[in-house]
Amino acid sequence: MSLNRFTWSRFFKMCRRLEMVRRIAEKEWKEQLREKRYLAAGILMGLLFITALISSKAYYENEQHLRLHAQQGIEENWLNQRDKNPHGAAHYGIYLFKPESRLALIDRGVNRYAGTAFFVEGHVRNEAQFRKIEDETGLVRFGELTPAYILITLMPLFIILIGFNAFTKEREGGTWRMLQSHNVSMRKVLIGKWAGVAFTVLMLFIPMFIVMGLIIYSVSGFGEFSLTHYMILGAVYTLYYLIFINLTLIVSWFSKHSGTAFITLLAIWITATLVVPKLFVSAAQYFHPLPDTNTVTEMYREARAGGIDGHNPASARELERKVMEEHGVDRLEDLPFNFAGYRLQVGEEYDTKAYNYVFAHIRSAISGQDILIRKGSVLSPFLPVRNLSMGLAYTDVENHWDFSEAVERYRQDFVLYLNEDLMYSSRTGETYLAGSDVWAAKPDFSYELPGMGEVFRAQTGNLFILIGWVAFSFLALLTIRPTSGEG
Amino acid sequence: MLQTIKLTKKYGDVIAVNNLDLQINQGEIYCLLGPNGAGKTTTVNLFMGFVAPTDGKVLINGMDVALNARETKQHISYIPENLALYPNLTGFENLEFFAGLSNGRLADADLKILLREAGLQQSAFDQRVSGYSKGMRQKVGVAIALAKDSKALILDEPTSGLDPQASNEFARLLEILSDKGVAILMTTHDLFRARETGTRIGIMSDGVLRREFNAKDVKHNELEQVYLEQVLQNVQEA
Repeated sequence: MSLNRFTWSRFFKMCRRLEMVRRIAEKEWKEQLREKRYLAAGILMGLLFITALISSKAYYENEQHLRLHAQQGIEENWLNQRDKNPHGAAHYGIYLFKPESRLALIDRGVNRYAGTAFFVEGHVRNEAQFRKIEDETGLVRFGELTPAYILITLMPLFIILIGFNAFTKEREGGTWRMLQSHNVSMRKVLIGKWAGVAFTVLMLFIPMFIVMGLIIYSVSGFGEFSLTHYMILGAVYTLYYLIFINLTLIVSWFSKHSGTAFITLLAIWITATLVVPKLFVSAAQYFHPLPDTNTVTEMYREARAGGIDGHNPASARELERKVMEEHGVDRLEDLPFNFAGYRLQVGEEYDTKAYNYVFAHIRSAISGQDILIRKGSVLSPFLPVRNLSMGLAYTDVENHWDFSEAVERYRQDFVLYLNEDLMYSSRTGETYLAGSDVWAAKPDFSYELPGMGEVFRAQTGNLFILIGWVAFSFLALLTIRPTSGEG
Repeated sequence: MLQTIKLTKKYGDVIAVNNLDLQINQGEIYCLLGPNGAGKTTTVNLFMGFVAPTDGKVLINGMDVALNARETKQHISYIPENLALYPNLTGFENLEFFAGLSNGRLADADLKILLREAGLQQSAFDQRVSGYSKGMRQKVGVAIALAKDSKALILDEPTSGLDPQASNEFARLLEILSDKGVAILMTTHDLFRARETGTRIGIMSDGVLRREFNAKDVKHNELEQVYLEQVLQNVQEA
């Protein structure tokens, strides 16, 4: 009985505490709602967001249309190509397009820069093409208006705008003294303010997020929509906003004047969203430079040196001798396969080895850059969120590489298939002509976007850093002592 | 109800309040007069716990403010010279908010009664405070004090800047509160108002309480003369 009374008494006390916090939060929210500049900023954010969303939707619908058109044309061209030597068909090549998640509408990531289409052909591992950035003017350097840009870059600015004077306005306006004259703990005022700002932010973000989800869901014929990914993306953005809400309130608490608080927070925003990312990207490029085209060509030539050239019989005399010896024949014509096809395949394997060497070097440089940039995440929560956002939207560098590797594996199968057709459908030389049945039976390319587990494995570091930022900002908020805010 | 014992407050070498002994009982309106820099506002701030005393004690309902900052605030209401309210909220909403901080939830009808008692026009209840005059804001302040139902009220020059009518209305409200047994400490420059409204009057200068009078026993001329002597002494010392 006494335990029950004790429990109820604690429960009511807690309810009363929460009621107090609710009152403060409600007051805060009412004030913000009635402040015209906040309302104007909120409406502006909403309009920008809708514009970004519509433009992103139009962009992807257009891209999807072009892609479908191109895919159909490429498939038809491949199937309807004239009879020709299979290795010639390998040079004729095909295009493969990177499948996309519908979340790419939110965050285009590196797609516009890295490209989404790969030309698959014999001997050469091509980098991606169809880079939209190449078709655009220099104005794109000022940044694209995408939903991710609004949500990651501009939203913190909105948080700063509504929260920078959360405490300073009370001190400047004299209401701080009024609050102090009441029997209310300053900790509750702090929590109430936090809840008020957080509520305003969520009241803007949640409708935006729902509208965005509905629009993405309604886009037809484009990628897959994973609700789990979408909700996780929403959670990542929310955690990010919590960091900025906390930082904003901390600065407001310790600032004497609203102007000082605003300038300080603006400096933090510029540092977090512009300075640190650019600084670390520049440092990454400096310490882990990517080889330029000439260097890549030179590296390839060095790695390829001494290898067999599939198109040059003179370079394969030793191979001829070995193969004939293995099969116990004196003439190439007596081999159970067309040696020309075999030579082309061996040459292809030399090419692959050389490209593997070159791409391993490039990949290593990119990994080095990634590690260095990740270190920058300790100085700015913008970086882990940017990476997580791209990762969940499958538009990050990691995903680009994953697809690039899948394309390369397919390229090897594709060329092997054609070279083997030459080897086993003819006896000698390269005069054999394959037909439509060969083209129709080429290996199918299939690629599935990595599952959630793989995405999380790739993003573990970013996720931990983001959670670290959230924890750090809450700890910093907790260090505020009621007496330190006396005005 | 309100008491100071040997209260001293120093800011560096400057003594703002010096060895102040004050006792204000329930139902009393104590008007603290004094020129600028006399230490009136510092005394108010010490009662409110906004600043800590250098020496001595401030007691509210027998509790030391320095040791029981939050508990003592349950018993005290405060109206500063320029009552700060939230400009984007209405008078009613401001009252609802502050009343909620101290006294739980009051029904809307009760809050409106308090605003009416404080003399605020009905039409102003739902207007934003940003459009209020100083007198209207002070009335909301009185309503907040009424809602808190506290045993003591501290006012820091509440009538300064009010027109005579508003000042009279304000004085009437203080009398109502006094009749309810509230102990009131009011700092002011207004000798006439102090004598008309107060039950006791203290004259302070240089942080020292120089003289005390029963308001009924002192004539206006006498009060004025003593007050001017203190001001003159201040000027000469300066």
